[in-house]
Amino acid sequence: MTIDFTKLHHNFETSLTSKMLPTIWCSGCSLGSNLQSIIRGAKQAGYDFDHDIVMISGIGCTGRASGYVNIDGFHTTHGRALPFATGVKNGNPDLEVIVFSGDGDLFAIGGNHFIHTARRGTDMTVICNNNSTYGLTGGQASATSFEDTVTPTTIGKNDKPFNLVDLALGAGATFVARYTTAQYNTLPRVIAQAMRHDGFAFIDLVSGCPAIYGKRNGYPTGEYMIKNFKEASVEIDTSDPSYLLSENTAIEFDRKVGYTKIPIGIFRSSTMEGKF
Amino acid sequence: MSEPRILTGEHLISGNEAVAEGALAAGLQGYFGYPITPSTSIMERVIKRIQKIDDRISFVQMEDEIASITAVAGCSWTRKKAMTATSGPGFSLMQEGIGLAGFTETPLVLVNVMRGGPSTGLPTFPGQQETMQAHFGSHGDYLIPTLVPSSIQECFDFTIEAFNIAEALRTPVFVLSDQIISVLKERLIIPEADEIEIVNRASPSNPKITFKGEEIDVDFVPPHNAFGEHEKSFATGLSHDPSGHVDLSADNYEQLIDRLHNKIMKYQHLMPQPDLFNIDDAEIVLVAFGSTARACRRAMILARKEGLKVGTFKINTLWPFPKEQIEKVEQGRKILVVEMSRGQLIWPVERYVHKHVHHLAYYRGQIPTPSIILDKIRKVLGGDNK
Repeated sequence: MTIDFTKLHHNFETSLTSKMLPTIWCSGCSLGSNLQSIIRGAKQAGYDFDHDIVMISGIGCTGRASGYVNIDGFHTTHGRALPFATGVKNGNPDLEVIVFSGDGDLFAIGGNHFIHTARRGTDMTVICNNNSTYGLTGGQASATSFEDTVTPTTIGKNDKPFNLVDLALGAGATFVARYTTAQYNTLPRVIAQAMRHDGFAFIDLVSGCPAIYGKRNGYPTGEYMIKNFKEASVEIDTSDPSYLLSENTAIEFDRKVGYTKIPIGIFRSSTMEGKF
Repeated sequence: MSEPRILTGEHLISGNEAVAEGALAAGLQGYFGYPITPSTSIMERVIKRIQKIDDRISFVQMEDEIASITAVAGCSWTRKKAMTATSGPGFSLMQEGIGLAGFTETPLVLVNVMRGGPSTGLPTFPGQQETMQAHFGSHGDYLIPTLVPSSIQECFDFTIEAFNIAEALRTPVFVLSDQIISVLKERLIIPEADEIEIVNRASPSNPKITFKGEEIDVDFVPPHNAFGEHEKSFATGLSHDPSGHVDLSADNYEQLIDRLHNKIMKYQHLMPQPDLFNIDDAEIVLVAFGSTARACRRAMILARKEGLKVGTFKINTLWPFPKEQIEKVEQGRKILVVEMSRGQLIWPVERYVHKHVHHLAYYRGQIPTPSIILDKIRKVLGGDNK
């Protein structure tokens, strides 16, 4: 079958910077779907793409996203999306600031910035496309790689991964959620809620890198990955007070089959006095 | 009780306080910083003052210097005048953000109050060891205007100049002060607000701006399309085309690097020019900047009393280096570079002075006193070439 690409349309074509397409992202990657969820979320929340929103990104596959969306944006240096966003929000508090970055950028090189930005409660929405690897540099172990997985920088076992929900809660984020790429129906609503949240909102968006990390570690294709996300996702029960315990928020992974448990939901959504 | 932004009148204040007053007079709207001696009193003065000023001036104490410079850049992209101040170790950490700001043509002001290095070095004794780092500290090819005050009045004046250059040329600008100037107190005269030239960067709707009576060429300095202003604004630390989007092609990259260099060189004459003292009949000229330039002037006065024909070439804009002026001065005269480093200022001087350059490298965490400089002058004039 031949596909006439000139006749293909994208539902959110006007929200994308056409001259930058196609993206650098591999087939099966979560990032395209995640980006669409953000566009849908921002539209649902009622923001005007002409002047209401700024998207700040760091370095890595995810970093390129700010250049693909047709809104104001800045592609910063590695790990520095949050301090840049802090400057933007303080410079113009009327802007809705979205930080769209990856686990390596936000939690390894940028980890210190994350805890401090959360602590200050600067009003912004931070979405971590958490695929547990450095995709752009070839799939090395990241701060969220699982212990028993294989990467080019693994000797025996990886170090223990961060539980990003636990970390965000501890650092004082006032909106904390986790979903996977597979919840593309729920995500826009949650993202809209995070954007409207007056304070530091964080979403651990569990994503996959089937082309590199997944191929080595139990989810070789995008199709398998989405199925895996759906099967492993467990909605948290907020009526049980123990749902916030670390062991109940942790993601579990088995190198043979992929994800085995992903606790999803909104872990915290408290209103705080607006900083701006 | 509110205070005016510009404290017109006569003051007895320190160099760091004068820098803060200069920034406020220039229209400061955002300060992001991290404490480090001897720069901290700039931040403290800004905080003390902004609480009494009616305008909205944001301040965030950041988690480190990398965050500080990056937040300053972020604030600048909302068309706000923003700054930070630091000292040696913090300046090293900021190099990443300096490269980003230079490459994305982000106007900002960074004040580096020099102390002895390397590493934690000599807290907090004076040094001038970031002379070359200000030029070559971040990776890649770039050029950032660097102003070097040597008096409290210049701390004030050059900080305003720094903001104006930053806005006019869309570039980061450094003010390189040092530990002596930072705590030194002397008279500062702050003029009436309407006597101070304030430059605001060009925008797509207002592309023509002038700086010191000269119109800035948009082919060299494109108007700043900031966030939230109805025209899509995008920038990246990657090589980019004029719209700001990624373009890694060879021709585009070369043109971009050239334009970023050329826009600074084209307007070099609008930056503070060197002060020349007693050059005409001088047999020897002292070349220095910052606090050592003060000691040199004193040494020159003492030497003249002995009948020695000494002049002083006081650098006010370190980068781009005042090449043409030093070439004129060196003709028929001996050149003596005086600096608080083992040998940094001598590099550009040797590049443009086509003969042996004498050197007083004083790296002891102390300023070379006028008598030490005078001693060196006597030796050089006596034929000692060491």
